[in-house]
Formats: sequence, C-alpha cells, structure tokens
Amino acid sequence: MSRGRGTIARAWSRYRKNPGAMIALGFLVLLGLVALFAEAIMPHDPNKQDLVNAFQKPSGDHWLGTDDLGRDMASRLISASRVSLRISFQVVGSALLFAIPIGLIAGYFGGKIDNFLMRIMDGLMSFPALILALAVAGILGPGITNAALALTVVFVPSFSRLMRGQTLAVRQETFVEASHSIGTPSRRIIVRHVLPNAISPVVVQTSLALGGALLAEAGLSFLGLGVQPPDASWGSMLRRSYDFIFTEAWMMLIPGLAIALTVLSFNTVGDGLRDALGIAGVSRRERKERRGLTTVVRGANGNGDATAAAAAASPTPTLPPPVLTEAIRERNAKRTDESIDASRPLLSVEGLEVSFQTPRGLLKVVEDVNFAIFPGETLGLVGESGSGKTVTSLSIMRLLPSPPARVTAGRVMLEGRDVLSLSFREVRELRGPTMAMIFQDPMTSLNPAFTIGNQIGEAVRWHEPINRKQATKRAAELLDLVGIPTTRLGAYPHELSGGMRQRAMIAIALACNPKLLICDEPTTALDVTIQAQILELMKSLRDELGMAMLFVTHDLGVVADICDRVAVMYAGQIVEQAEATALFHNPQHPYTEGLLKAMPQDTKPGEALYVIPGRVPSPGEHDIGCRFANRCAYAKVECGQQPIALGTADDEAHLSRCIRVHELTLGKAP
Amino acid sequence: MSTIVDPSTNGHAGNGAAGGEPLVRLRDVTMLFPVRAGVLQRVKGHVRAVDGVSVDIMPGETLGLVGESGSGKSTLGRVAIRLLEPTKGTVHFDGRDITKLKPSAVRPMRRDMQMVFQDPYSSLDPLTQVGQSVAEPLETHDSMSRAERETRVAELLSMVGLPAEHLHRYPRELSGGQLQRLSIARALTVNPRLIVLDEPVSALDVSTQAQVINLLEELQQNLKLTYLLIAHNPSLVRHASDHIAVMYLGRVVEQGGSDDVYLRPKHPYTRSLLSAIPVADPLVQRERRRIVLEGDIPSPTNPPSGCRFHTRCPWVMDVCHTVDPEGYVTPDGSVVHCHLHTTGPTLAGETVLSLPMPKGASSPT
Repeated sequence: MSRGRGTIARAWSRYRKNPGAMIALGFLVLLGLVALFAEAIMPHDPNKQDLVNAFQKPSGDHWLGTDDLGRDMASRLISASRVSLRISFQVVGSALLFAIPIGLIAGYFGGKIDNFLMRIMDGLMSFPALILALAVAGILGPGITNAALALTVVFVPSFSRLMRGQTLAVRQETFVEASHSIGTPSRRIIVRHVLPNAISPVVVQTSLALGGALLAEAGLSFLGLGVQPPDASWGSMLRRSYDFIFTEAWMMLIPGLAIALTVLSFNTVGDGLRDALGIAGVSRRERKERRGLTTVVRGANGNGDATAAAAAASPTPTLPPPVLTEAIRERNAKRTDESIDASRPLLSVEGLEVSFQTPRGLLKVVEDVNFAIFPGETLGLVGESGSGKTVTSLSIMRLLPSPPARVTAGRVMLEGRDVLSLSFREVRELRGPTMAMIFQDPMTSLNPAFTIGNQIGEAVRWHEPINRKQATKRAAELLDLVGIPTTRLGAYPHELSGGMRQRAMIAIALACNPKLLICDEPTTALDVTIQAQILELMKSLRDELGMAMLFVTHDLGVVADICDRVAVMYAGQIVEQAEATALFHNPQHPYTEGLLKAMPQDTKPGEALYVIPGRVPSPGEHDIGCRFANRCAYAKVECGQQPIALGTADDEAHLSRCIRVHELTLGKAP
Repeated sequence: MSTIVDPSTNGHAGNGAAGGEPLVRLRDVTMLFPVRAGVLQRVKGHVRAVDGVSVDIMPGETLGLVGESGSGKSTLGRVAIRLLEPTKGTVHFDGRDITKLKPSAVRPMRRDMQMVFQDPYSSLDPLTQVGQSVAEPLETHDSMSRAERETRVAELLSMVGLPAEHLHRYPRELSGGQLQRLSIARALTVNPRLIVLDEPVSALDVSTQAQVINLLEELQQNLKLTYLLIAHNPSLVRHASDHIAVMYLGRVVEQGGSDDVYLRPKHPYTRSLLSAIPVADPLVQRERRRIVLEGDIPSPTNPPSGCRFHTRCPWVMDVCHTVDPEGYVTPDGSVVHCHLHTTGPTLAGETVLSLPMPKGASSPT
C-alpha cells in the first residue's frame, strides 16, 4: 500500500536541484556520521588532561589546539557534537510526539476539546523559554536530562499550534467530507487523510527547530544549567572558553563556529524543504524577474519549428473587415472627445505565441493567434479550459506572471504601438485610460484590506492628477453608474455579495473611461439571475460609454447575448472566427459544431447528450496537423499531415481552420 | 381555493405511477446554523439554511434540486443522507426514521447512501493513489482480501469508462472529468441505493459535462440507482431528472414533473430563473423579453417576511408581504407556494407564463 511515495520522490527531485540546500544537507549528514562514529574518529581521549600542554595553538598533533586543561579541542568538539545533536533531536522529537496528536485532535474535533488543549498550550507559551528552563532546572536540578525536558516543554506549544492550524485547513477539504460520507471512522480519517496533508509545514518547522534547539541547549549549558563537567557539549565548551576570552580568544571560535555552521545548515535545509514541498513563497529565481509585466522573448522557441515555418510561409490572413452594425455606430458616436476611425482596428493581435517554462522545458500554450477588435465592437473569445483564451487575454495587457510565462512571438498593436515592445512605465500608462480588465473571481481580485471606494479612487488617481476628495466624488459617480448604492462607498469586499463585488470591479475598470475593456469570464462565478443582471449592466454601459470589449467565456449562451463577433479557441489556436449570428447558425468548424450540439437545451430529455469523444490535448501533446483531428468525426488523412492555417470559409468575414470546410455541411441539426 | 397539501402525496398528487413507497422522505426539514459573534461567541442569530422542506424521492428516479446561492439545496442534500442532523423535521430512508440516529448508528447505513461532490480536484486525497481512494468504502463496510479489493476496483473503473492502470495514478495526474468519474466509482463501490450528486458537473467543461451526465444516466439504468441531483443549471436538471424541486432561500417554491416545471413554470421565481439563462442563438436571445430580477438574493440569516420572494417578485401583491403561501396542488400534479394561484389574478394552477410581463422587465436591446 503506497502512501504518497510519489510525492516524496517528487519533493526529493525538486530538493536536489537546490545547490545551497544540498550542501547544507551534506554538511549535516557528515556531522551526523562524525557524531555517530565519534570514538573511532577522535584522535585523542577528550577527557585526558595534560596541563603542561595547555592553551596550545592548532598543530599537527592537536588539530584544533588544546584547552585550559590541556585536553585536545578537536576530540572534545567531536565528542561534544554527539551530545549537542542528540539533545536537539531528542528535544524536537519528544516535542513532536506530543504536539502532533494534540494539534490534530484539537483541530479536528474543535469545540470544548480544542478550547481545553489550546488554553493549556497558551499557558505554556506565556512563559519565556529560558525562564521556564530555569524553573525546571531549579526544581529538578541541573543536568542534560532536565535541560532537555525543559526545552521540550518550550517547543510543544508552537508545534501544536502549527499542526492545529494545518488540521483546520485540511479538515475543510472536500475529500475529508467525502470520507465522512463513506462512513470511514474519524480516527482513520485523521491518520490517513488529515495528517499527511497537514504535515508539510511541520516538516519545515522541524528543521528550523532543530537549529533552535541546538542554540537553546548551548544557551542553557553556557549558563551552567545544561551539560555538567566533565561531559562536554558545544555550549559548555563555549562556557569554558569564555573564561579565557581575554587571553586566548581563539578558543571561543571553535565551538562557536561549530554551532553557527550547524544552525545555518539546519535553516538552509528548512528553506530547501519549503521550496521542495511547494509551500507558499516565491523562490529565489522567481524573485529576479519583474512582476506585473510579462516578459517578451521573441524566438525563444527553438522547438516546434514546423508550425512557425508554416505560419511564416502562409501570409497572415487579412483580418475580417469590421461588421458595422447600427449598434456599433451608435456606440462610437458616444465617444465625443475622440476621433474614431471605425474602419481601422483598435486592437490588432498578430501571430501571438505564448509559452510557459515548465520542468519539461518551454511549452507553447498559445500559438498563431490573430484577431482584431474594431472600435465599439465586442469580440467573444470562446473555448474550454486548456484552450488558451485566458492566457491570450492576459497577454494583451501583459499581465501573465513571468516566470513561468513568456510571449515568444507576435505583436499586439494598440493605437499603432506594439504593447509587447513597450517598457513597464509605458504599459502602465495604457492600463486604465486605454485598456482595462475585469476578472473572474471578484473575491480574489479585489483587495480585502481596502474599501471599494478607496480602490476605485486609487484607479482614478493613478492616471489623473486629482486629490482625494475629488477621487471620492468620482468613485461615488462610478458606483452610481454600476448600480451600487453610494452609501456603500465605505464597504469592504467581504461585506458585499458576489454580484456587488463584480459591479465594484467593473467600476474600477471603468474609472478612466477605457476604449477597450477585457473581461475574463466575469459572470462564470455568479448565480444565473445575478449573471443576467451583470450582463444587462455591461451591455448598457458598453452602449453608453462606447467601449470595445474582448469577452472571454466558455458559455455560448453568454456569447449569443453580448458579442458582435466571436473567435473560437481550441488547444491554443483560433479555429473559427465569425460574426455572432453566422457562427451559431452556420458553424464552419467541427469543434464549434460539437460545442453547439452538446448543449443540454437542445437535447430531448431521455436522449443521451451529444459528446465530443476524447479530450482536449495538453500543451505540447498534439501532433503536427489539425489538433482536433483525433476527436473529429470528419477527419481524413490529409488533416494530420501538416499544420493548418486559418483561412476563409464562406466569406471573408468567416474564417475557419479546417481544410475540409468547403466540402462539409456543418450545423446543429437533429 | 387553496388545497392544503397532503404530505403523503406531496409532489405526486395525480401522478398515477407513484404507487410505491418513496426511498427518501423528508418532512418539514429545517436546518438552522447558529451565528456567533462578540467576545464571548454568543449566538446572535441563525442562518435559516433550510426552512420547512418536504420532498419525496421515489426509488429508481432522479429528483433534481435547482436553486442559487443561499437556496439551501446543498444543505438539504446533506441532510438527506444524514451528514447533518436536521434541527427540526424528519428524514426517512426506506421507511426507517433516521432523523435522530447517532453517527455510529448511521455509519452502517452509509452503504446505501453515498455522495458525489462538486469539485473533482479536491474530492480525492491528493496524497493517495486513486485506486486506494476508490477502495476506501470497502475497508469500512466489507472485509475483502487485497486481491478481491483490487478486482472490485478494476471492475468499478471499467464501469465508469476508465482504464485499469489508472489505479496507481495520483489525482494531480488526471483531468477533471476523469477525477469526477473516479468519485462516481467510489460512490458505487458498496452498491448504494441512493446517490446524492452535489453539482457533479459544474466544475467541468461543457463537453466533459455531457460525458459525465451520460455516464450517470447509464449507471442509473443498469444499477437501478436513485439520484438526488443538485445543480444550478435548470436545462441540465431538466434533461437528467424525472421530478424537479426549485428552492429559494431555504424553501421549495415549486416542485413537480420536470417537463411541467420547465415548460409550464407556476412560480415567478422559477420563471425568472429559466428566463435568465441565455439562449445560444443571438437572434433569439436578443429578441427575447426576459425577466431580470432586481436586487440581490437576501441573506438566509434574515429572510424576508411573508413570502420570501416578495422583495424581488415582479408580480408582488400586498398579501405577499405578510402571509407565507401554503402549498397549492395544481391539476398536473405540481405543488407551488405562491399567492398568485389563490388571490389576485388567481392562476389556480396555470403557468406563470400566461401572465403579462411585469413592468420593468428587460426589453430587447
């Protein structure tokens, strides 16, 4: 019965890649061996006195010199290592023996048991460590055993609190509830499911605590409460050397360095474990790259060249002409302070390619993406998870985190400038007045520590030189615009419902009256009736303010409601692009047809739902030709032979990445 | 004139097929969660998650439970399989009263009632191999040897359409659809009679949703299962259910046969809910006259007086503010809690669709 062995193996391989952590681990292993085989390694008897040769400097005979009684420092250091290390491990080990069950039980069962146990822990924690140790030593007498006991008591509360916190978090996970519903008894759930999932931070803390225990023991022994002569620990060696600090200062260095190096190694191992176990925190490498601006490294993709060559060989298809409906004309008319050329795109994405740095190398997740958004129009970007739609939308604003994301090819032309070539400052100036974004989950996108009035005001003040009072006034106007009562200016995000929070986010995005609004699944997390409200709001705002929109979603119903034109994405590419009605009534790609047929609204009850067989390929997993071919009912041999470009289907406004498009008759039909 | 609902025929009045006993019978179930605040953590109020719900689930059928946030549908699902003990009311399973049983007495009953959860990614222990997770019910309810367990797990995996070698994979290596199938396999392990499906496909893509729903329907046919399907997508629920119950703020506002509820809604909330779902056809969607409800869903801690929907109802009348509507049995067998059927325009069982659109309804853009 293997229990997470795969996880340990993975953690180890991650740990191995960290050179500092490996060195530290090596040092500790070496130290452990030295302590274990102390008798064999020691050159002399550590207790043998030789007063004639006292205070000798390091020499061939005595590698680290001799102390005040002529005893060999090196041998004392080695034999002391055993004592110091043993105490560290003993203290931490016994602390864990108590703390883990206490934390698990308190966290899992809660209520009175939790209260009882934690108040005891609080009581113990309220004593400063050293005072507690002194008290124990005072009652039970000095000596290593008692010192170890005192230290154990000191370490138990913090470990148990950590364990309890982790247990509380894991207890809420669905798989714990699932085990309940199966009927698994509590004790088995705790040991088998909760403990392994909760233990990682405790493992990291253990390593750090070992260092702490070593220092604590050294401190106690330094005070004379720990190890008693003639036995030696590093702490007691430090004590003796301290007596001669004015005459033989070098003597303190030796145990001091030993302690310092060991504690440093424990800490480094702890850091390495934290990275290897994937506990929250940015690794050193990540911190180097800039946050808030996706890195653009054109041509970084040496592999997968066939596609690049094909894309280069076939000319970029001329983008479909704008569809100038009455509605769009009216929207453009609203932007009175700008001169709008409705025939030229506001945003033009050309040949966009985005890759992610993974342990397996650079993987392309978005490839050969071309589309344009004209002033006043709403383009829908539809796809399932793994299609690349969110990555595409984030890369337009250069908001993908780097690492691991990199834009590896293409241009994003906004008002004549390539966003991908701009500096951070230039991009920041565009964000807000020219383009703005709203995200899927308003709870995590709004800052929980600030009121919504504050956050909206901040958005305005970044781009306009107004003072706080004016900003508050603007914020109130915006709240009014999005339908939030202005009395809620001082509300925090958690005080608002999901729909209100989304409205607040819309207000922030609209603060500087952007020309382009990018929406990444803004209604997916909302209830159906609230979704209807928010969509109505967005439509009326778009019409009133004359904004263009890029609307990313997986819901075809929403697309039908709000979008003028649609682009369908699959496995990182656009597979079809058309005006909205044309897409729904006359799909020109088998994938689009499949999506339309799978909708439950159109299936008779009692009939099985239409299923597209197979599943979406992961990045890098697809073959050279059409990426949908292995799931396509119409696939032929030619489909898999070479990369397929996006070409015109029925008319120049309708594009499809299917080479058989002119032969096939697609549609929702029975 | 209103008809007081006879609990013994709740939701099935006039349904000739319902000759047998329900597998699950919930009567006046109420679930209150205390709200604690202040330094001393005193109880300040209660979240009325479920407030007086009575439904039956007939063996071999699927009851779909539809509602939005705060409706109490997930809580009701958990009460139905006794993961929670109701504050008031009774729960009967297969004729037996299981309302007041202690957890240790409920445990052996877990063979018969299982649950599949919404999020496939957190439904399985990330540190355990999936084969292990699927076999977990066997450890509590059966004594099989290791070889027998492996055979059973392999059998289950093939029942849900997964290859046997997935036994040794970890959840992180699998997709959402595959993980959800594994959750279903785990629920089937000890041959349950009832499965509560709590939003089983909401976290999945459209094409994967279809696969999982088809699988569930196939399994129901082959294994004679009974389902309580909880979801917020009414079209999906209509497709997959025999009966539907619509919940709002802890109450069932309408219940009946799925076609009756979906095509001829009798309650304004049902109509608004159905109206809010966008239709995947731009021409139709933009011409539709939809009802867009004003305001947010009230908090279950402080529900409105009288009919709970009165704060947002497009056809609200004076009586709705003060009197909580009784259940009204309609000619086609549905039960609806709405004053419109007994006062005002007196629909008397007619569908709400027959009413003229209220003022303030959204007109086509």
